[in-house]
Amino acid sequence: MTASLAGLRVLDLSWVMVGPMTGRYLADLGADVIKVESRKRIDPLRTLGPFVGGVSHPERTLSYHFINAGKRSVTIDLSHEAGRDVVRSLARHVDVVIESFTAGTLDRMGLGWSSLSAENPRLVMASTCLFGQTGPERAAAGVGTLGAAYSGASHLVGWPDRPPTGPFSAWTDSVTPRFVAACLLAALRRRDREGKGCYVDVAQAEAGLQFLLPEYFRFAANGVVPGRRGADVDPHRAPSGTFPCAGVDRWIAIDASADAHWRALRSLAAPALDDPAFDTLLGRLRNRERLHSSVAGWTKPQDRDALERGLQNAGIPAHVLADGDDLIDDPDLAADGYYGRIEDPMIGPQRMRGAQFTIEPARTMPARPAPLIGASTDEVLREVAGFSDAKIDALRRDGVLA
Amino acid sequence: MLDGVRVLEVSRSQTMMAGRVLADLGADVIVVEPPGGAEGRRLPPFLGERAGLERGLTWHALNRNKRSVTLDVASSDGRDLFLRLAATAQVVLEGEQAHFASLTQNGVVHCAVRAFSENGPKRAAAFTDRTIVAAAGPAYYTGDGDRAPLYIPVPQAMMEAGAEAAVAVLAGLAARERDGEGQRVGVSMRVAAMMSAFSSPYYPGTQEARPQRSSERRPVVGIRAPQFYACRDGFVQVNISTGGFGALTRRMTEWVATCVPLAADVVDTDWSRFPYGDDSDAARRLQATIDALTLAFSTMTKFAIGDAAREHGFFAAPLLDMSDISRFVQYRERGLWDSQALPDGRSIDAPVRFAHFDSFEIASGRPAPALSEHTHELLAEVGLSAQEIQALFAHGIV
Repeated sequence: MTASLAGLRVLDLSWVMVGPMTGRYLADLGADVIKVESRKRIDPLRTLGPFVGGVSHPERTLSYHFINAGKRSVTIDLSHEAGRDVVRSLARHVDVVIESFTAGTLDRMGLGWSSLSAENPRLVMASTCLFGQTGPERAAAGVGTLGAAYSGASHLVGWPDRPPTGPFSAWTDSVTPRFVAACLLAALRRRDREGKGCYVDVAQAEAGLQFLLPEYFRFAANGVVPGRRGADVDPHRAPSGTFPCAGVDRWIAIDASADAHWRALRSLAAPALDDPAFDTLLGRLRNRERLHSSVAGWTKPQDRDALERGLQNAGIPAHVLADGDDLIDDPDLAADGYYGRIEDPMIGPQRMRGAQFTIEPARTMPARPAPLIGASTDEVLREVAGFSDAKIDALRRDGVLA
Repeated sequence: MLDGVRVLEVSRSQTMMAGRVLADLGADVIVVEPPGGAEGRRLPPFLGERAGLERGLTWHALNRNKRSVTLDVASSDGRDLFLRLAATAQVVLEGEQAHFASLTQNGVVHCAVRAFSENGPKRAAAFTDRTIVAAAGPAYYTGDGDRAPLYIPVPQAMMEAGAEAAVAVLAGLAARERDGEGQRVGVSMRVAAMMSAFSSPYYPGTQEARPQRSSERRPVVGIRAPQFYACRDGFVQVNISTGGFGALTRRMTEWVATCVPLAADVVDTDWSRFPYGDDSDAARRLQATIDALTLAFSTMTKFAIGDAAREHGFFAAPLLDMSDISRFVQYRERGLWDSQALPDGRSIDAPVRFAHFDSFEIASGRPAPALSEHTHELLAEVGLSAQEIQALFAHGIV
């Protein structure tokens, strides 16, 4: 069986993460995704690590593969009018365009939705930036850390006695691509039935807020403005938390609040948790601090992996706090084919993720490397835009394909 | 947009966001709950701080535009009713217990949102949302390095997995549309939540320093720049960017020099090439910039700093709380909000429009369903008489 989107063609004009990851969802579903980039204004993602071999080089970062696997790369310098013409030519022959410029940038280049859809009425196009294409602040430039601040996430994460820590990394960059991809797939379905294109506009800060809705509703319905709660994220559960284990910065999450889980934990940890004050949920909640320090005292000298196995064997929800080293080596992640082996001309064999989910009997694409910059420029301009070799040579001579 | 798509969502925490995204995009989503109510109804917070099956605010946030039917899928009558409903649906969405995976033979797109891999050693592992986030990586990297790791105080595995499942279901539908065959779709909550661990699994194979749990940025010339700066009424997030975004940092130093004293040669730093020259000079420039920002922000409000950043074009943002968000002019004028009814008769503004379209609009439509609100109409639609529905109720099946 062929992949869900085999035969679909996507022009990906975006950079860094939200747009490119949206494109990667489509590539993993079998679409031919053409990434437009330029050596003159390199995708900042290519300047971020981790670089294989410790050499900072645009073709050596694994982050680029993580986000751009399976695409074809063409280099076009959009500061040339002729470069913008090349993009217009490509846009006539694709099903989807994705872009993540600051709002208004593409319009100024004559490549906005109104221009592209006029020439390709079946086009489905997504724009995504910090605040979206409308509203008084639409022109603000932003990255995922700013998205986290504007979505409310950064304010919510941290210790009450210290400044906030915010969520890890450029948080809205990980949240937003799903919303963009879902909208694109819904719009493609409508296009296939009704013949009509569609324009999708997703603000990254607004997408982040979707993952925080319970806290927003707490404010809107109950008038409470939530703040930082430290590690005490769920005051209704006990024991439930992160507990230290043997070694440096080793931790396990245990959530044994449900009665059966609590009884299993108590017998496993005996006599550490035998205090009759902990007999009932009410008792555990009222003595939460003491309970949690008793659990921590029990976990502290133990090896976290052995402890996780012991707890899981007793049916108790528990997992070590996995770091990157754990994640790349977990056999559970290999079992459904999440990781595959890629072979890249610059960085050789590497373990890299495949699709985010499985579909059968249609399939998703296996792990693939991301493209070298401009590796498919000629082939794409010939095949997709129908350019002659002479025209391509002329464009290259004029510095348009840089 | 998804007119004509009917989704049966056997409700679990991790299916709720998926069903909601599909419902917002126009699908007819029917939540199937056990007679005692879906687990999502018991998630905090609660309306007016009073618990109740109709008072869960997580439930209200993630179930608008859906209808609810109760049936006990473990009973043979309940299973039979489900199959009658499924005959009218294109999609069945379930949690880790996939009761109805065989429906793919009838042309249904079946999506199971499991905790771990379907075939891996952890396939039967006990879990809660917290343990999945722990397994996925974000928790380890969230917080301060000298204290325990932290979590976003909203269950994130269910959000990540639900959003992922919306994409996965639509991908399955695309294949079904083309081939006319049912599709078996598998989503792992752990894999979905790993998206927020970003590239951290790929550092171990390189010689680069792993990401660290810290609110500070990676060290540059030995200095870890803070990401968060105190201001008069809260905190702001600041990126002292280099490389591709270096020009923004230049605009920031030019602006900050108009607020507080900053040496002209520091203002002149070429952040796109930074660090350059000898390390001690680079460290001096970076530290002077951090000190100037700290001083300038301490007397300003977070909104004033956000305004300056947007006006002058640099990376700084106020840390908005939920009250700030409800008032933020950008969200309001863009049309993020739509009115959503709550069971106490009030309505709130909810951030409904997670996307805007040229030819479609997300609306809050119907509020989240009351338990079993639509059982009668839906069972009548598949041919049951009023007497039969009452009999099923008397037997505790619906």
